[in-house]
Amino acid sequence: MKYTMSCLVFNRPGVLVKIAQSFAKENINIYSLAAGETEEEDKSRMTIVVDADQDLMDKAEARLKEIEEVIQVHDFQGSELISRELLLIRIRIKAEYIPQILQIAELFNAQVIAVSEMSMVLSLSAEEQRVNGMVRMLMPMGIQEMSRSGKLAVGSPEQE
Amino acid sequence: MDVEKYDDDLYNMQFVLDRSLKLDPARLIVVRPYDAATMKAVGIAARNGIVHPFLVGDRKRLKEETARFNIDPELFTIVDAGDDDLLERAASLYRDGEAEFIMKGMVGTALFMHVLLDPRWKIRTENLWCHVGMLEIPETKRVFLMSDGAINILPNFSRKMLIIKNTVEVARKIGMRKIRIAMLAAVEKVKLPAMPATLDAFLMKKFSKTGFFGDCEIAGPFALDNAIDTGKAVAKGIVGTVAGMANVLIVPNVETGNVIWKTITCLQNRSAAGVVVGGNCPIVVPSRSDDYSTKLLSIQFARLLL
Repeated sequence: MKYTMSCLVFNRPGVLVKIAQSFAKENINIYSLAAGETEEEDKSRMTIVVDADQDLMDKAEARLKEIEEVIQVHDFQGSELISRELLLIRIRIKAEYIPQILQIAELFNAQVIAVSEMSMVLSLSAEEQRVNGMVRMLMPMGIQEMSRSGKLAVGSPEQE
Repeated sequence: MDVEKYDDDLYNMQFVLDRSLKLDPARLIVVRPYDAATMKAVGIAARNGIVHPFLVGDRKRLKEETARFNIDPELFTIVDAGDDDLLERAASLYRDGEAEFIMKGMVGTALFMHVLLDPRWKIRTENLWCHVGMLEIPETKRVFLMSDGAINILPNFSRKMLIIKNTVEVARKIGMRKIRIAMLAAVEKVKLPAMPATLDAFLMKKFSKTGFFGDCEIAGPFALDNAIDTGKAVAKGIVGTVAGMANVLIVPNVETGNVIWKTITCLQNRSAAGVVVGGNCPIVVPSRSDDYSTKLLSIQFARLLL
């Protein structure tokens, strides 16, 4: 089962390794991890998506809380969250596929952000399922390169 | 203005449209022709054997108007209809095969188009409707087609494909042999994300290599001057067979098309012709403020497309 959790940590060297080790020790694979500064410069928020059983997750969460730099661990399980993922994808331009590529981009509300004679780059910020959907639809058109940010999440304002 | 004229260019709009004089009269439905410009245009078209008009409206008023413009009663048919069922009555004439194409008189465009789009009149097809304008700029020694300055407000790439397809068909019907299509924008290079029209233009040029549009050349993006003036294109280092030599202009949005149209007709005081295509018959949808000349040329333009 996939779990999405958010860790608020002090922005210090080595924190990422310690967090990764907490999951590794329970043999949990990190599906995606996105980290960035928060409104306070010395703190970072990491959104981590893992694939694991509940028991293993509980153990990993306990390990995370033992890390000195970890301020707060929030498991989004069972709660509403607002999540987005950023996708950058470079597609080969083959003349006959141009209308389809643009239709797919329009359908998913993606933007063409760069173009050359040979390829174009699309950008999409959306929920994970929509990002997966667009990637699947673009697959036959010739994906040359793709980069995903991993899930970013915050709790829904309705829960406050 | 530097121009270079290809031998096979259509260079005189009146000459092109006067081919309609050699054709058999076509049956034209004219809805509510209560204004002088429409009545005068229809009268001239009827007298010259371009059309046989079916004037749809209040019989008494139409009799007075036709008499005022000295139109021989033999040359037209009045279809009496009150304002409540006027548009339906007019559209049913087309559905029943009584007439071949249709023209708007003193009726709001939105209502007119809304009624005609109803599938029961069999005017609508699966194709996109768009407005194609014919313009003449003597300095360029060329007749231009332009689309879409009236129907499609901000067409996406797919709609632009259909607009081009419709316009190419019109170009062939009026006898343009070398169709050179310029995708208009404000600059010649792709600017993202600020100018999405430049992206569509760039990709349309690439897409045209598939042969989807048949025998024509598409290039862009172009600013208007570089599309129609070879000197300006050369000065900017823009090369290619379309640069400065375009005879079909595809505008990025309705505002651009409308401004070009009004610049020619209002500021330069020149006539232009326009018709809505994409349905089973051409539809003449002049602005109520257009003069009789534009309305007459539009009738002639539509007649050539039948």
